[in-house]
Amino acid sequence: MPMVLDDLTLAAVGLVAAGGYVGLGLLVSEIYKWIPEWRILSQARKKNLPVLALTVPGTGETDLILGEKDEKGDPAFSVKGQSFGIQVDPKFSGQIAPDRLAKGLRIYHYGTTTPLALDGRHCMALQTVILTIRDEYPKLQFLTDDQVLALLNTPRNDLEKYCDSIYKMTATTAVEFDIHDSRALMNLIIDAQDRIAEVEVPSSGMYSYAYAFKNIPTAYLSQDLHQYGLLIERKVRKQMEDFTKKFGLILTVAFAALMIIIGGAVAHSIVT
Amino acid sequence: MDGYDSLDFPDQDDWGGECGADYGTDPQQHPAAPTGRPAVPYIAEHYNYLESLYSSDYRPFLIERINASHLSPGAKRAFISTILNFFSHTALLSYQRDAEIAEIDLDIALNLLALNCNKVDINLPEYPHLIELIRAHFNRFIVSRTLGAERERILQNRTTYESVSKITNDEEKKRAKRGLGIIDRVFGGGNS
Repeated sequence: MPMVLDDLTLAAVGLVAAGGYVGLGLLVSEIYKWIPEWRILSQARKKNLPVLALTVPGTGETDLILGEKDEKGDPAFSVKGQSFGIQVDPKFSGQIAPDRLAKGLRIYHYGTTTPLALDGRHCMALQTVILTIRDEYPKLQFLTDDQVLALLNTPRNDLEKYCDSIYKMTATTAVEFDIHDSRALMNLIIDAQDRIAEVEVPSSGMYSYAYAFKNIPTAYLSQDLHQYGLLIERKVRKQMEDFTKKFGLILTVAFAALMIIIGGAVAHSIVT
Repeated sequence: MDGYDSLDFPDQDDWGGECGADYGTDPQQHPAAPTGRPAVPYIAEHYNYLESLYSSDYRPFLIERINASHLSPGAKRAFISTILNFFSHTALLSYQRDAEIAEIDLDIALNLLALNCNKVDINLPEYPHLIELIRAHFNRFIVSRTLGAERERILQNRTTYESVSKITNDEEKKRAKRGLGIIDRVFGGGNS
């Protein structure tokens, strides 16, 4: 039975279709504009992969990337499509309690310059150390957080020399009034080390990943780790090239010799 | 000390001793040989001269710069270990088939050196400067002495060997000039 559509119906259908397309376009542009991470989050949930939150130390600006691996069992996540160096999988580097979102989505926190992940407990620990020192050792105010953490992390047998070096580098006249010499600074640091060993890390409270990544005392960056991998790769490639060059020549000569022998044998059999 | 104790890694970090003042900036001063030899200076000047041929006069300067820097003790140790490794007598007398591999090895060592540093070390202006001094000197001046047929070890051996050979040739020449040298020419001897 033929269907008859009048002009009005056609126009209405056209309008609805156009409205649908416009709505779809708006929705897509809205998603792309305001949820740029939607693909990462959806893929992570679909493939049961972790999301890596890469935080800029200090500012707190964070990028999300998908925790994919080039090969199953790799100790580090893939560096393809990102420029933040290597991030080591916490399954290999130690216990990390990831943030968990709905449907089992795991989020590991890295700094844009750190190869190892941190979790909330680490952030609390770093924060506690710095706050304790700042509260209880006002004489150490002339040192930056980095310098305080470096001194706290120095073994006792190295402390005298390092305190002397830091003191010479940083002590002003006002500081010399409070801390007379590098030996006095060393005694303060030893006291602080003992105090820090006793302080308990609070089990809850406010903390900041940006603050933790800014103050984490390690100087070996994820970019350094990436460069290390590239150097090893370059060395192996170079050695393989030399090996191929050397044995390629031998193989060519051996093949030529074999051809001559076969040729000679054939010629000999023809002649005889 | 039995005379064979290695002084490169003293128990205490007395870099002012073996690695600092004792190395001295004067290449003729060698109070302690750092390569496992008996730790006594050479008495004869000739041996001191020979040792100076395969010593880096830049090494004591670098170690002095590191000791004078504000790096942490751990970072200083790492720097000095790297320098002692790559600027040793053995390194100068080694044979490198390919300069690039040697340069990559140094880059790997300098990369891993950062593990011994803290953030304060890395942010010091001395840090990149020292790294670059080591890299530039090793890549341009140390590795070039270990490459090819004219490498250091061959050149040093050849010095004595060639002088003996020359004297023999001179004597042969004199002998040939005494006569007409016909017999030598006939039997394929001296062709002068």
